[in-house]
Amino acid sequence: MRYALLIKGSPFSSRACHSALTFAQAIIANSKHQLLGVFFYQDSVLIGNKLNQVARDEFNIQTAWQVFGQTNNIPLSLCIAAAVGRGVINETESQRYEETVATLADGFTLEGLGSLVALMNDSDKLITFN
Amino acid sequence: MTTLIHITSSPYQGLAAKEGLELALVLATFEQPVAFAFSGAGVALLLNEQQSSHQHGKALYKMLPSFEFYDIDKLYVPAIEVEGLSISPLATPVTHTEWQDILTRHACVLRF
Repeated sequence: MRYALLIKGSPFSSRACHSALTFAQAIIANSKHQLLGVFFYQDSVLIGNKLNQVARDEFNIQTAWQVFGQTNNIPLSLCIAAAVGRGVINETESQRYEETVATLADGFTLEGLGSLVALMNDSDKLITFN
Repeated sequence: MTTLIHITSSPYQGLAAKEGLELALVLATFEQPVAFAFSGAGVALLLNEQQSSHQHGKALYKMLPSFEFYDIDKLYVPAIEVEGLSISPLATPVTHTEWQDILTRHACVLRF
């Protein structure tokens, strides 16, 4: 089964990103299944802000996703409109909006909603995490 | 395969309703069939004669008439939730049984 994940809940005020990671790890652990990609929409895009500082004794969900994405070669896409609206911008957007910093963390990319549509079409199942 | 966008949040509560609408329009742009379901606080988006200020956020109800250009003409709402209310003529009030059928027959339902 080919899966795609759509995450919508904030990494701070919900467990959406955490539950989705557990699910993603379970997909990877089972060779019968395949994870095509992960799309972050709404408040979940805040996971891609590299300025987030996590207390040392707390679980860092951003790092956990970065490691997961890199280890398993899974694309982690943030909706560009949702991300830019929440201050998560890459170099290109930083220049476009004449800002002095880019805030997008490594391992994440900004994509249009069209990428989500493509993921929905290419996968057998889209699982949403609110 | 039609994607059902189920709006349950008020357009005045946060960005969820707006982001649901935006996803629907992108799906339609990519020629993917889309239908809408409104319930709970989401019904507020269908109300006529809304007088929202700039501070209330984008006037989402003004987007409804543009749906026809995207071939989006299925907007369902449970009849019992809009009884006595003046709502957009684009929305179709449905019975409880029809509503249950709508929510279960779509392979992909995304709630905002």
